[in-house]
Amino acid sequence: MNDDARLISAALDRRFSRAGLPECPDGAWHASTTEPSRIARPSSVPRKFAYAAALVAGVAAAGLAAQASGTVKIGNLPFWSHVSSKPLTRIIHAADQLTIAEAQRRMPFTIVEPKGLPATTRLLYAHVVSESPVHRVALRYEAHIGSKYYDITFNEATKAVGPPVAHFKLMNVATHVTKTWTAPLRRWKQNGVVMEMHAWGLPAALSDHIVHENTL
Amino acid sequence: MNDVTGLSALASAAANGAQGGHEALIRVLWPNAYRIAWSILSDRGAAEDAAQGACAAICAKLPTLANPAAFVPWAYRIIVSHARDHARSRNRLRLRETLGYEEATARVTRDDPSERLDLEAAIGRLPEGLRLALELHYFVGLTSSEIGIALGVPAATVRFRLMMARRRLRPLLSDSTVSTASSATPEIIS
Repeated sequence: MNDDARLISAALDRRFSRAGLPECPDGAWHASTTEPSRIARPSSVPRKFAYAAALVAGVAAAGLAAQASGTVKIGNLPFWSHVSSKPLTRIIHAADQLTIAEAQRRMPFTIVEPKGLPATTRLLYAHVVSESPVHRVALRYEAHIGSKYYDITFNEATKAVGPPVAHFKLMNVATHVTKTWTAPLRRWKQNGVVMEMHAWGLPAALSDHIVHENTL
Repeated sequence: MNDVTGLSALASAAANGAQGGHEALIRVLWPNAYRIAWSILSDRGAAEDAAQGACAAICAKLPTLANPAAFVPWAYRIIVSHARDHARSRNRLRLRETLGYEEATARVTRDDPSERLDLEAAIGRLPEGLRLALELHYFVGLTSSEIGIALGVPAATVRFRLMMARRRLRPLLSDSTVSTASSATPEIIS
């Protein structure tokens, strides 16, 4: 080694002596690995199903809590309002809740009172929905059958509105984004009045019985 | 000069599953692993972390090393890579001011008591590529081929870097006033 090399080595010795030298860490170096640890899961159920189940449970719990607290009244929900375990909620303003006689005074045609309704049915109200040019009135009944309350609504008008009735198929049609209507369960014409029956959730035999009583 | 000649034998023993082979290998390798990491990181704690990570990686990858005789450059390649990754990830790679040509050719005398400190400081100011080549050659004792493997550059590049490093340090190494031009001949190693 020449002088230059000795000088450089000596300088490097001094340089590294400034760095200090920590103790070599004791450890099981022979057990070192770069492979990721693979721990068998205790359950064979995929994790995604557990997440989905937890999500469903959370949503259900939140829904039940909201209903119990009164924040959400099930009678106000559009598709669930036809059957309830509690008496139906009157979803329109009290000023618009009329008797058939009061509604009749504002209608140019004779309001037809449906026949064949279950014995435990009572009229909640009559609602004059529109007057000119298409006059329409809605009669809302509540049938208490067993432990449930069924909503049976009849729309009576001088002209059919909406698409043809699709039997036993609930359909909610959107037009112009915000304007919606629900297709009736049954529609028929009686004494010049187009009658539409909305009674989703009512047993089919009862629905058929009502239609039969009013059309034959 | 540090003795690393026994490292290949220790690596071979560890790879063959000798009892305590890994621990003995790391105990010998540890000082220089830490020093090289410190040279790159300029931080004792970070150098210790990087050296530990490199040692763990060396132990884990040892079975994949086909030729135990090539252990030394292979291990230093892992050490340098770990230290550089550490520096990159922690953004601790500090730009070092390169010693200027005029400063490097400044005339000093070897009898000056401050000369040794100047040489040490000048090594510290070398660019990382030159400094690592210098340290791995003069301190660890690797050949230019082994340094090339460790740094990931050709051996010729290592020789060029060593020549450049010596040229920059020449004013501090010469007996008296020696110009750069007269000492530009590279020393051929290995």
